Amino acid sequence: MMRPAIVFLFNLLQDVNILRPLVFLAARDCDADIVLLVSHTFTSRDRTALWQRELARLAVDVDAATHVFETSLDVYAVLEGRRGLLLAGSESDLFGHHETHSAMQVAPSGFLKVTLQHGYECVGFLQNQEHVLSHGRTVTFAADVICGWSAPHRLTALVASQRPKLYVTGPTAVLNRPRPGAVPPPVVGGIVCENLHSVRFRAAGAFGPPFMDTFNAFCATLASAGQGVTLRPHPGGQYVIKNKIALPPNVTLNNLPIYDVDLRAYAYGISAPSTVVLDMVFAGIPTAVWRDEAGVMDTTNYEGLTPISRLADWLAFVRDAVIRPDALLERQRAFVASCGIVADPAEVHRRFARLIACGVDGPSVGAVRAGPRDDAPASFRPPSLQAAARDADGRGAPPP
Amino acid sequence: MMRLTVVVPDDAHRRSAGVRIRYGRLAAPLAAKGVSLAVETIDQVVFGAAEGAHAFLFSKCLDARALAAAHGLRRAGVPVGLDVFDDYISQDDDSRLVPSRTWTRAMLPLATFAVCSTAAIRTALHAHRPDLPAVLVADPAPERTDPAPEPTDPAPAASGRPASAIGDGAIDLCWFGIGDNPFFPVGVHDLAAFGPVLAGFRARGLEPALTVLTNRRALTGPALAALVRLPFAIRLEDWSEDRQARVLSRVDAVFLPVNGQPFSRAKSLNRALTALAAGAQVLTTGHPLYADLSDLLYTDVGRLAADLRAGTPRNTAERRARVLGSLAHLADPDTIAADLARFLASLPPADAAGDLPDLVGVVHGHGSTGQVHKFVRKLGYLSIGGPFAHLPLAFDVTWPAPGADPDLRLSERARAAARADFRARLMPVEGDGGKRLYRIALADVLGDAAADLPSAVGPEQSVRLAAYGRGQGAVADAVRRLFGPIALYAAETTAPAWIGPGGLDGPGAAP
Repeated sequence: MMRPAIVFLFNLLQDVNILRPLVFLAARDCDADIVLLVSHTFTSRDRTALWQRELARLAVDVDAATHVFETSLDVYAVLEGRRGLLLAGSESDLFGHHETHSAMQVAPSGFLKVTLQHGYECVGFLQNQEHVLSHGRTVTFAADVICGWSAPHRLTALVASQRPKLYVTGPTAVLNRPRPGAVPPPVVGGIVCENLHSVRFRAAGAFGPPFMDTFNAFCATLASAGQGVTLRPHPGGQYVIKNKIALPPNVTLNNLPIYDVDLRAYAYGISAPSTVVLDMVFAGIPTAVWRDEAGVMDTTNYEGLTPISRLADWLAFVRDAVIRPDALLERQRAFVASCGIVADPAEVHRRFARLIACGVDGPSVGAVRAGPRDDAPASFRPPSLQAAARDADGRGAPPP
Repeated sequence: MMRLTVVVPDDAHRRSAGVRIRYGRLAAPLAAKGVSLAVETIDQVVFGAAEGAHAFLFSKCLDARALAAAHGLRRAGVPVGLDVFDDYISQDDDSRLVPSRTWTRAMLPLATFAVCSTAAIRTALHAHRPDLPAVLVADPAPERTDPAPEPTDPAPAASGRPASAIGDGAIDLCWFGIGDNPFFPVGVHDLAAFGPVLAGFRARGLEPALTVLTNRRALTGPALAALVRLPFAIRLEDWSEDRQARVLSRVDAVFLPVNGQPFSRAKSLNRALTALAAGAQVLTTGHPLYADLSDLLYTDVGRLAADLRAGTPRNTAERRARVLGSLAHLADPDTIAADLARFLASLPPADAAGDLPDLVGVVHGHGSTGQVHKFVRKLGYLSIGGPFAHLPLAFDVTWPAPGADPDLRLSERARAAARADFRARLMPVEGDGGKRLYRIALADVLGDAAADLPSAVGPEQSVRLAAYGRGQGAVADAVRRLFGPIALYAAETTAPAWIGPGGLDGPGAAP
């Protein structure tokens, strides 16, 4: 029988973060051709070519074929006559996802099509009010299977017609390990993440200026104490870089792929509502969520974490992070338990391995050569999180 | 010898397969009947006075160039024909086709005859002008391309076709042709809609495999998404004439689904004739467009499977000769050419159309082109820039721009053509590049009406469309006062821009 193909669709720049762990998983565990299918808009978005280099490196690492596509016909030409699995890091019927959406639509029937939840709050899975204002409440997918982070009842934006497609896997980010030999910029104090490009900052009001004003005042205060801070732009948005925002001198920029950043090395993390908040929470550092002072921005999905708005809140949080981090971390553990995310790397690996094996081989799991290990290093799975996830999601079974 | 010049819009069109099929196959048989046929592009053809018997046949030239040329030809007493082989004129409820309908309605009074590819098209055309003599000229069938021209061979295997896979439990199928249309769901859409019937071969023990031979443009995301849902294997190939010939000579059967919209019902038998001539069996579903060929075709999967297995298919060279012999006027180039030659000879002798004014003006609209302007100027007519003309062209009459003095600007040619009383009131001015122009106040031409003109400014399409009728009507009014009797045609390709009754005579005029 023809050797199956596992095809990964890259369209948004952050798709690399989402899909990279699965590319390695597929290459390691499955007897299949690995294909990276990159939209031409990916290459035009990637002005610094950083992500194209990452993809090229990935292709070499797993011996994958890479194709750039412009039209649906290009996609069809790659997939024609093959079978296997087609995975997208971001896909929906929204215009911003049309490249991957139409790619899924033209995939021959021999492909199992899979779309991943690509963020904690993610259109079609779990939306905030700004998402709803911008994109509506009925976001749907062309995929056969959609991989969610948490139990169905937590995914409040999942449309009824899409619910049967849900397979709970957890986020792929927990499978990432910092690459040995990567050289991150020197770690300075805490890390502040910006996602000013996001609809969050536009849909219900202009929240960018207050965030940056507070950030600048925060930096000035740190500078007077001889301290610095690291600023990390959103990988797709790159707001401070694209808009050439002048930054205070005590700010270190960190623009590496998230899988090359060891968040554990930072003293604390601050971000407006964004998936990176979860990354920092999983890294086990004290984390605060910025919201506008008037409370217009919808931060419901982050309730339970430390909220900060004014400069005084920022400074109080930094002080708490130093003198009583345990209280903050305990709060974060409770938050993770309450949102029911499958966060145990071994469990996430197991679930994806099952799914990919299904896609490659049909219902049998014979293609998984190195089965998921139950004896994963203990540091990969915080016991409390693991137990919470098991309780919350009812052990998503692989789709038929 | 009579000359018939087919006028096509451009060179790409002249080289197209459609033109080769429709006119190329007729040239030789027509010559034998005393008619020399030439295909020329509208910008290249010389519309001189008729030398001897000469007729012009306009094919797909859907803009004001054809109207201006037809006007001049009629004035010179030359027969003007209209070739219609696609139905873009009967969809009265479709505003996208306003340009096509209004062009046809403007062209029909100028035409002295029409050529129609099917009876359905002739009916649609006659709905607009019932008294126009119209002859049926079907797309002629190709020369036989069946590899072994042995008329008595009963079985396909013996007729030189490659060995079929039928014995191995597979059937090799093909769909071919242009896969898309800017207005109607046809082609690939029909294939996706009717294709599932081919899965019926499985019930007869044959695994279908379909080669789709079509143009790349047709394979859009939605089209591909529909095709990949067909319940059997497909193989896409870029269409080319060679590839079509190769595939048709190989496959067991060609699938020709037809949908029932007016556009599809008015199609010619060309596709079926091409497939049959290549010796392939043909399976058709949907609208019975090919009913005249029913002795050669299949409409039922089971019948076709059984006949292929038994080695007794319907399309054999012998039977084809018999059927096509009885349908000569639908397929045989000689017969079709004879019909056309007889028709042309029977037309009443061309008379100079004295009721048409000598002076012609073309009023540019939203969707006009520089080509039209150049062409009109070449013929010595007036190119008129109305309030909606957006191209920076050196018009003979220029409407005042919004905010500018309410003056009309006239070229030297327009001045010479103006009525004497107005000519005396023209004031010389310098135009772009030092060119001598003349101006006259709009109020001097239109009187009180000049104060009440709609403003054509603003990018909003709704506002522009609302102002369109009165704006173009005002141009027509001013031009008629300035020049006296003049035929006015609108250069317009934008749907659904049209003007009310009493305005212009061309596309964009009243329906």
